[in-house]
Amino acid sequence: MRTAAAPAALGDPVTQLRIVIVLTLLVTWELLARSGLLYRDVVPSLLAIGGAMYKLLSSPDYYYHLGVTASEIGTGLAIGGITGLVVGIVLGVNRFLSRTYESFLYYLGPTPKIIFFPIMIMWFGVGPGSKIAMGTLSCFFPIALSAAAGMRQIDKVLIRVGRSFRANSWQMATKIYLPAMRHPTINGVRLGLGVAIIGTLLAETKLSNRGVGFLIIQAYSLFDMPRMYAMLIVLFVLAIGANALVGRLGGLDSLKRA
Amino acid sequence: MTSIAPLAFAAAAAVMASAAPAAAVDQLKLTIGQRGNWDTAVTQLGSKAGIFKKHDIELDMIYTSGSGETLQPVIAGRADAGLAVGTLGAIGAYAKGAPVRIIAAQATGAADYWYAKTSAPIKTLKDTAGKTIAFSTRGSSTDSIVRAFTKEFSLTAKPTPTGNPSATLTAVMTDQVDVGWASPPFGLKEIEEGKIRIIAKATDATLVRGQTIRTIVANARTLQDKKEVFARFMQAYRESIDYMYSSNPQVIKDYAEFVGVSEATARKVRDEFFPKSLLQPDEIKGLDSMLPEAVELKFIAEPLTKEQLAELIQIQKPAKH
Repeated sequence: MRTAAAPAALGDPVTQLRIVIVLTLLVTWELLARSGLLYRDVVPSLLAIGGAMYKLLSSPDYYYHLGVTASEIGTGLAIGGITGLVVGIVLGVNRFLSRTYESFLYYLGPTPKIIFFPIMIMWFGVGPGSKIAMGTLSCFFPIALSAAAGMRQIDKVLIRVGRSFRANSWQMATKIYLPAMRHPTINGVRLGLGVAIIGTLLAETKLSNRGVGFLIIQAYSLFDMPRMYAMLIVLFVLAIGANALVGRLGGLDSLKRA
Repeated sequence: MTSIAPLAFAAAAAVMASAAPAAAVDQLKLTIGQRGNWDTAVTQLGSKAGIFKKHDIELDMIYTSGSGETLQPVIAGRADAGLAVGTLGAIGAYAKGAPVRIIAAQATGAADYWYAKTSAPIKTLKDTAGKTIAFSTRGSSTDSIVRAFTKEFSLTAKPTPTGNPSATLTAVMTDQVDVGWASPPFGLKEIEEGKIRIIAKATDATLVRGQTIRTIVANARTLQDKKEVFARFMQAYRESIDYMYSSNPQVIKDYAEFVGVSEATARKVRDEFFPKSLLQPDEIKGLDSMLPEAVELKFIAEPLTKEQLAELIQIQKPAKH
């Protein structure tokens, strides 16, 4: 089955187009690097980046830093995700609270969260706490807003059925609301994951002695561009993987197929 | 039973004695800016050599991306001390009521240098008429140095903010700025490769040579509570500086490894750019010229009084033997 699935996936026009886009980007990059049109140290050749990536992935030290960042992002996403979900459900259920508070979430959502970093340092210190807090704060807004929107999209019939069966609040949340709002919520989590990564890494670049953000800013400050790009590529790939995993766990694949 | 009891007691006492530490180790949490510079590597190299441990101090060093990030945790009481905090920034924070005290000088004078592309016709500062000259950000030490250059050498070059050395190098190499700035070891590789040439050093300006541009700061309350610990910290800091300028080859090896450069480059950084006097911690120099500059750059509304300066600057002097 698997061997048959792989060629089928490659035969998919979307997959083919994606491959073409990636290859075009790589070829364009290499041509620019070799052309001399751009400063070569800023646009190093793919060979140099590949060499740096090999060194990076061969270093046990890198995995320690990656582990630090992953745990900070994971914890931030868990805290921000759960609180965002709860707030979203409450806002989705209660019209008064929604009208009172939701506009604040919309205003605060796009605010660059780095401006809150000094407050996070004050509350949570200079260690991992402040980075987790940045991740939490970053992902809270998209998840809360998606959950609230998801709540309002639930078929009223489902809610009436739950109430007619005299389901309590917990049962309503776990049996009716969460399953019915799964897809918009998972989309919110995917958006939240992206901004949690950005928030955490940004915090690590500002004040840290460990983590991938710390390594990236060190490479940049030494003008070690191949190493910096190698780290960004690895991060990009890991983010894609995490995003796909969240989508799969949330059942978005089945939705797309349907 | 009676014969066993004294033995058991003695054994228990021996176990307890061996478990107890010889002396209590005090921990200090430091925020440090400008990672990789020779002058900001004092605690790193001193720790590696066991100097701070000898003084019963353990350091937790957290690196920051700038003076602001170094200062904030100290003000919030989340870090015990901040290293490489701009003097003007520390003065400004104090004037606004922040609980911050300067406990030592961190850099007096500067090792920063200004450079141009080797293909450009600029060889000295005098060749910069009508050109652009870089500094990092408004109010930074590089801004002060460019102002000093302009005054002392009557320059007509246009000062341009370009951010950190990496961004500045890119701007210079892509002809967006004519003269860039950097702090060694950054740029030494490009100099060796013949891509850029040094046209001036910060110390070419007389004013800069006598100015303490960066300091070590502590939270006022922490300083009060841990005065004796800070005294030991500063003693270890001084010994670390002595070690860094000793003939011990290990220090160059450790610095090269810390920054990721060759040992030859590491030695060059120390011997050609950082005279030992630059790292002296026991005197804040050049306040007379810096206070008016702090007013001009709006760090403070008016110069600090003598009483305010006495409260702000509490140098932890070496113990007299």
